[in-house]
Amino acid sequence: MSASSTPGNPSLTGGAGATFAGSIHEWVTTVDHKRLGLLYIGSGLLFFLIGGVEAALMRAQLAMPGNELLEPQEFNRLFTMHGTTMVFLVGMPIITGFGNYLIPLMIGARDMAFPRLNAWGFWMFLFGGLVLYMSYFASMGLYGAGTAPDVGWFAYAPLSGRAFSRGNATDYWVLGIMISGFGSISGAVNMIATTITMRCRGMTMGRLPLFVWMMLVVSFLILLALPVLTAAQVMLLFDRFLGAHFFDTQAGGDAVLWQHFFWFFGHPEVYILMIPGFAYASEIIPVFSRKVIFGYSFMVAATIAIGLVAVGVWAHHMFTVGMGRGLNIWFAVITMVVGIPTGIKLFNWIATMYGGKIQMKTPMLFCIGFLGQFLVAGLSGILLSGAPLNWQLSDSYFVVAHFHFVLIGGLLFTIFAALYYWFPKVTGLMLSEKLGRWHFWLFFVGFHVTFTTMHVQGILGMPRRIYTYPGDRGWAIWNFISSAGVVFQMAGVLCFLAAVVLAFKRPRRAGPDPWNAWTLEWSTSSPPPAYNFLTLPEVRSRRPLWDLKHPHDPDWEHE
Amino acid sequence: METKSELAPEAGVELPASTSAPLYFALGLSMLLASLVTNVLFAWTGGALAIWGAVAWWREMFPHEQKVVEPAQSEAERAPPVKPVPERVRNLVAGQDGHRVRLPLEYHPYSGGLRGGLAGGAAMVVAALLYGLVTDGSPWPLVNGFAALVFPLFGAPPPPDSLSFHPGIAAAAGLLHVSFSLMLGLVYASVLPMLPGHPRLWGGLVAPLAWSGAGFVCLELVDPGSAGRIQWGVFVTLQIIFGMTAGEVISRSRPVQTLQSYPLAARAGLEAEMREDDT
Amino acid sequence: MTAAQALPMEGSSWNRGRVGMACLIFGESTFFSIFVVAYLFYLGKSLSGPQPQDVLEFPLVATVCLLSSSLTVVWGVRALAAGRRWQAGLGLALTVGLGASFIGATALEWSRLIFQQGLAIDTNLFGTTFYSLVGFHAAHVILGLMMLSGIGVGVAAGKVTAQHAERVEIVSWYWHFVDAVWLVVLTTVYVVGV
Ligand code: HEM
Ligand SMILES: [Cu+2]
Repeated sequence: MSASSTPGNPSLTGGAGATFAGSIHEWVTTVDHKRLGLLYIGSGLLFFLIGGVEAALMRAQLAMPGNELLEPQEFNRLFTMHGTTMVFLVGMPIITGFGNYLIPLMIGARDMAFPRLNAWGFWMFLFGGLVLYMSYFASMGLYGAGTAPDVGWFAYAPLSGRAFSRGNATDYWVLGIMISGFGSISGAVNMIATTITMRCRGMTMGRLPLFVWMMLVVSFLILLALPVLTAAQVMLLFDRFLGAHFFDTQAGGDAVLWQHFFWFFGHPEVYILMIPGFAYASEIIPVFSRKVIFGYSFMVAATIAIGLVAVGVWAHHMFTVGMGRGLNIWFAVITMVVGIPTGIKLFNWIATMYGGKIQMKTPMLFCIGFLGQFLVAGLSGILLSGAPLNWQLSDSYFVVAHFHFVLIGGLLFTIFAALYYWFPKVTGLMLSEKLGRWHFWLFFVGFHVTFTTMHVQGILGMPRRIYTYPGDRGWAIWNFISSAGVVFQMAGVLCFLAAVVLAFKRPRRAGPDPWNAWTLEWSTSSPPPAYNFLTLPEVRSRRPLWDLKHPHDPDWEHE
Repeated sequence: METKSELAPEAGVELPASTSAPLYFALGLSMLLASLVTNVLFAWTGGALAIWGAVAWWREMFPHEQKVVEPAQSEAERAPPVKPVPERVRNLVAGQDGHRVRLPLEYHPYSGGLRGGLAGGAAMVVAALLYGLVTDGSPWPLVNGFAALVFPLFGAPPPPDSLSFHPGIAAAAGLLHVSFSLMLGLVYASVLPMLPGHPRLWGGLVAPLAWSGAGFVCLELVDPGSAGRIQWGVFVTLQIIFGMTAGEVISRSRPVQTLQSYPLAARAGLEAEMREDDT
Repeated sequence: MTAAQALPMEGSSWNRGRVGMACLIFGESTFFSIFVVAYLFYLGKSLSGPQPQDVLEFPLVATVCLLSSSLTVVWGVRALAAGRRWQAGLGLALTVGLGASFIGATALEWSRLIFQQGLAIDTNLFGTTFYSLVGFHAAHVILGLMMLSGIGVGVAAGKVTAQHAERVEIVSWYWHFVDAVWLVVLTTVYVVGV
């Protein structure tokens, strides 16, 4: 009962004067959207470290030709766990966490629409992740041994069928992802209901911060995509446990159907991960350019367009499976179409910066890095969408380079930007600018050393997912460079951790509005009280704080 | 379903009470699912936990949602009200130093592009026919040559003999030629006004040279056979004739103003903030 | 300050419960669509018998039960909102009864298919897709039945009253959804599929 008697001020340390056990209890029973958001982000970052170690191990193995650091089987497990972790246990919780934390604050509400469901979603995610990692200890059941799944993050049939994946490792993959998937679905329901019904006075849809708009689109995509994965995984479980034949070619089943189902989920999923990155950038770039976002309505429309088109492009992951000319042409063309709304966004961010008084603070640095890297990623994506070129490059390191440019160069950079930007709001403390800069530059350099080179390996024909390679193919030097970049990236992440520790050790108070920003979350104290706003705010434009700061030139005169 | 009980704000705010029900429900469900790959004990425990969690959750919501009153922050902790800042707003002005120098203030109408394309195409045909007459004594070799180049792309056989007139082939080649010309005309109309200097320079010389060069290199690589059949000198000359004519006609069409000639701030509501002492 | 701004959802009946339920239904629909797609995709691709046209009978009684239960639930919810407790209880009880008959009919059908016709989930592609599609629908019916009987008990005990009518109505949406899914399943399996 300590929870209700010690009113929680959701700072990082728990309620004032709480004992350690008491504060743990407060955290696990919480239904506060801010604490749940932090739990999501915090566990996402922990999984990020685990996934990072897995990646570093793989890069160490590939640094030299013929290296024998890892067994082939171990390598297969590593890339499976790495991919699965990064997508489902890092990307998903972090974007959900930011959504949870910020949506109510940005729309002037006191909590999410369904606070308890929100808590349930978080726990489902966490237990899903734990089930997945339990495979390391328990997947051989009574034999007492464990092996992680080794079928790749997309678990293609028939490899994932009973005949080729014995033991329970693959089942752990299915169950862990399925459980955390339920959590994501509930989170999406919650974000939609919150955005639609909990807005404060005057917060019409046309005045929603772009962040909220984009998370709304993401939530719809989650509702559209994740149940598809769940359904496909249920089918796989039926195949594996009940002897059903969904993906069993011996009984007339079709292994390619799994690919269709998986990618019908998988491509929207990559946009589920990327659009939140757009959302952070759309909040941060205007503030550090001291200008209003350029083309608000076009940004909204482009996001919706991306969401719609993203549903129709899935088979660009399947050109090499032999779909036939008609489908190849359709999926190539429609994939290229995605480039249009995406390009609109890039131009709008640049136009926002154009003529502004740009302040090169750490969040802005990461956003600028994002702009360039996302452009490259989009261009390599367009290249890959040409079916003939794809036949050459698919399943090579070129694809690995493409999606790491999106997921790291795009998403992770914006996540770092968001962490630096909202950390003062969440804790009331500033992060060190100096360490932030070190973080950015180390990570930036490391990222390019590792992943820009991967385009070359891909073009030189190095397939992905091989555990080693002979020395005479001309790949060795490139692989060595790629692996070397990891050191810089790790150093960058260490700078980040150091900055966080330092922020608590040598606190510098941030105050409610350290960046002189414009959205509602900056009008309440840092950290915000449990109820967010004592009196619910009322807005008249997209930038309510601008209106208050500039009573002579408020936005609502222009909008 | 919302129970509105407005407290006086100073007393505190009602919020949903903390509860462990969702945790138990989630744990129960996860264990239930994980029992597939572990042990029936998991199933029993999981099932029990899930039911327990579900009931607790239900009790949390029913008959009334459980709430706690969160006391308001003390005055000192609260964020002070947002105050006006001593910043001046400066609107961007088009053409100001350091800003983009060339704005497409006006553009050529699409109708002009279509006309230009047609005129260029016509000039090209006349020149091609004349060239045939002079060198081979028959106007048709270039028409047939064009068809021979393009038809295989569509799977049709090339014309059998290049000096005589084949009505079907001429019609099809004409159709293709007209559509190419129209498309190019449209591209010209939208691109030419953005380039500095006279349209005749860009449209008449630079563009045809650029695409002829690109075509030469690519064709040489992908299909050396057809590349060999093309007389590149004639080809380039004809393109230049097209470009000159089209550029000329387009540049004569009456330009339409773009929004660019309106003040920038009026169009986009753009503004930049700066401190008094920055100026 | 100028006149107060409106609350964005003022005057709209879309409260958070309704939006949440609509979203849940949207997500569930995608889930079912995939099973429908798989069913249609594998139609006629079974390598061995039995085939649908040999063993399936049109489930007329079950269908009538389930569809009419949508009407009784509306009747019950309206009564609850109007404070007519007994009528509300009756409506819910009828709904639960009709839903249970549907499940009963399904159980009979399945036992006939399994024990007389020898069609199990691992028999062929038809069995695989049939049992998963129809089974998931039946599972949702059972979930709905559990919720409705809980509410029914509450109404009988006088604990669920007119003030909860809104929430009960939202639950009834789910029931309508389950009904609608049945129409799709029916068309897919028993009309198109045979
Ligand atoms: C302009 C936008 C984009 C285009 C045209 C595009 C195109 C493609 C294509 C054609 C492939 C298939 C390559 C192959 O396997 O042969 C691919 C793979 C991939 N893309 Fe993109 N993409 C775009 C944006 C994104 C974004 C925004 C993300 C994620 C945030 C993303 C993540 C991925 C991933 C993860 C894969 C590899 C999946 C795997 O095989 O494991 N892409 N992309
Ligand atoms: Cu894709």
